[in-house]
Amino acid sequence: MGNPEKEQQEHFERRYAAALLVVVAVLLLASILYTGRLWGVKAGIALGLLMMGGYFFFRARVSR
Amino acid sequence: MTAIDWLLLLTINGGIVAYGLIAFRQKRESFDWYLAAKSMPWWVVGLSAFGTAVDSGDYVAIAGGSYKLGLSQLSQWWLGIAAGWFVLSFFVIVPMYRSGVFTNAEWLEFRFGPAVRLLAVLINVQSRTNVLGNIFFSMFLILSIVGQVEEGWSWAVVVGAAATSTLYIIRGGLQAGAFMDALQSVVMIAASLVLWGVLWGHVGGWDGLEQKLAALDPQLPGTLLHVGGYSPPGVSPWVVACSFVIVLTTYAVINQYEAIRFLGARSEWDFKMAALVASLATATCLWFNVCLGPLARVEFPDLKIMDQAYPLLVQKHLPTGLLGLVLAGVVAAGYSTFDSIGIGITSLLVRDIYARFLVKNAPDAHYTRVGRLAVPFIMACGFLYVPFLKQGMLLFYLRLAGAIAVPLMSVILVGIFTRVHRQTGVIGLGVGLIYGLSAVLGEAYQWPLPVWYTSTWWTYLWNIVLPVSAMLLSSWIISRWKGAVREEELRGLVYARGSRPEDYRQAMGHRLRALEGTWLQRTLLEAPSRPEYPFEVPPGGLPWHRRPGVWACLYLGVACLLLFVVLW
Repeated sequence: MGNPEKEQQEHFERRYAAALLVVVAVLLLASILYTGRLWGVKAGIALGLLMMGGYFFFRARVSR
Repeated sequence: MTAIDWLLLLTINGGIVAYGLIAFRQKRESFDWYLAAKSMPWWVVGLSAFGTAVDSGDYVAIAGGSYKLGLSQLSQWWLGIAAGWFVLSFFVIVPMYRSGVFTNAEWLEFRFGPAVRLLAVLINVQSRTNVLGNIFFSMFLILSIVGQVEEGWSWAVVVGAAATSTLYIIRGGLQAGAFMDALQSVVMIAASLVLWGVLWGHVGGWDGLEQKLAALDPQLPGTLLHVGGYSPPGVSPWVVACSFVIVLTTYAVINQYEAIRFLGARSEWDFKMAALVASLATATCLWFNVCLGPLARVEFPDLKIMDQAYPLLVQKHLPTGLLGLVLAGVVAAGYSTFDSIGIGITSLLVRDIYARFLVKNAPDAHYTRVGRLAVPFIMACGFLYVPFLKQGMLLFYLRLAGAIAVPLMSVILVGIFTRVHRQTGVIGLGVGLIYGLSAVLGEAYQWPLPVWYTSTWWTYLWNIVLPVSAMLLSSWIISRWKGAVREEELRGLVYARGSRPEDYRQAMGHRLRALEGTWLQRTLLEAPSRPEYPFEVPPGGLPWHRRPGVWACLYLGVACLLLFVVLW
């Protein structure tokens, strides 16, 4: 049996991290609308962030 | 800067700060607040040590410094600071961790007496508030040049950032600070990588940079793109490289705000592995940052204020979105050092001044409360340096560190590795400070003194030679007069393999008569000891890949090869 308080904390951390990463990725993608300069770099970073956010979200769902 | 850049900056840093406030609860006991109950794993301590060492001043000041000094600065960031962290974690911190002290100044009193403790606090406070000033000024430059924010508003934002960074420290103490540093360090490395990647591609890589510098001046590639390329008149490149190594070795050895992270580790193995993590993260991030100086030289060959190099590069080359991301990293670097200076210097002021000399026997929670109140006061002190920073932050810092901080490192190392008498600490420190300050004044007022006496670069070497010689000589004289140092005087205070905390923890608590019945004594006696390893060690010993010493040697070997052969 794990420590329920610790598990709850970890669950919160994963969801929080996922949400933060997705918001940053969306902002980066939105910045492509401002200017197309270096759009490939922005899209690449945003994709990486979305993948990490997805991973944290998946871990949060599994641990629930 | 567009709205989306501001949103990125605020989301990333606000998100981290908010997490720190939510996740780390109010800590009342001093052992929890100051030392995170000695519970932190190696990766947190290591990333936190990196985040603490590299601040937003190091983005602006390092790019500004390497605009003139080139890649010579790599010797401090690849070798100097790593050597310092390895010396700290493998030797210096070991007796401090085992003896139960909270601060390195506290250990200095046990080893050398109260005057050295007091001087160590003053040196730490001077040096770190100077760094705070660097961070404030660099943030101001970035906001006013890149963000084109009015001067008054720029300063208001800087003050706001300093104020919010104190919030999670006040609430969660060292643990909150260290975990936040670990998160901020990821943002910092990403920011450095993005800016470097964009510029490196723009100039056409190493070959393109070399050609463009040569087009400005055929001598420039030799000066800026080699570790041994920079040497002012009368100073050899080896002296410059040695000085750069010593400056950050000193940084890692003497600074309480670094030491307190290692003291908060959950085992001795953890703080040794942390030194490796910190060294690798720093080497990666600072390669990107140091390269920016030569890159800026290509873009802006006639800058009058070197520290404008970084903001100008950011402004010219980064489009919306990437600009916000990179500036978020710079601000994260500021946050990660604000909180570290807050907790580190507070521990010195409270434990080594307030509890030692003023209020000696209050309840434990009182000292945590005083610590919380001291954090904003320390932040405010950084603003006193701002008027002196306009000639270049790095050079100002190098000048003062050589004169004031290096003697303290010499005294600490002699105290850890030799059996010199207790009285010699104040002699060594006094000799170093008198020489260092006379060199600074001699240069400032153009006294008729030779370059080898007054030059910033030579100061680093003399401030090792002079204090160490003074201590060894005076100890030899005292030994002739009073006899050698007794074993009981040194027990638990010098580096010794195999000694266990339980062997001398009680003796530590009763060693100084001045501490009898005080809060300091209670914490020394009651703080729990932590193990050498956080896991079971197999009967045949640790496999090679789990031995911190193997990794430390490997790191130092590769760094020396790159610095003194490949890039020299």
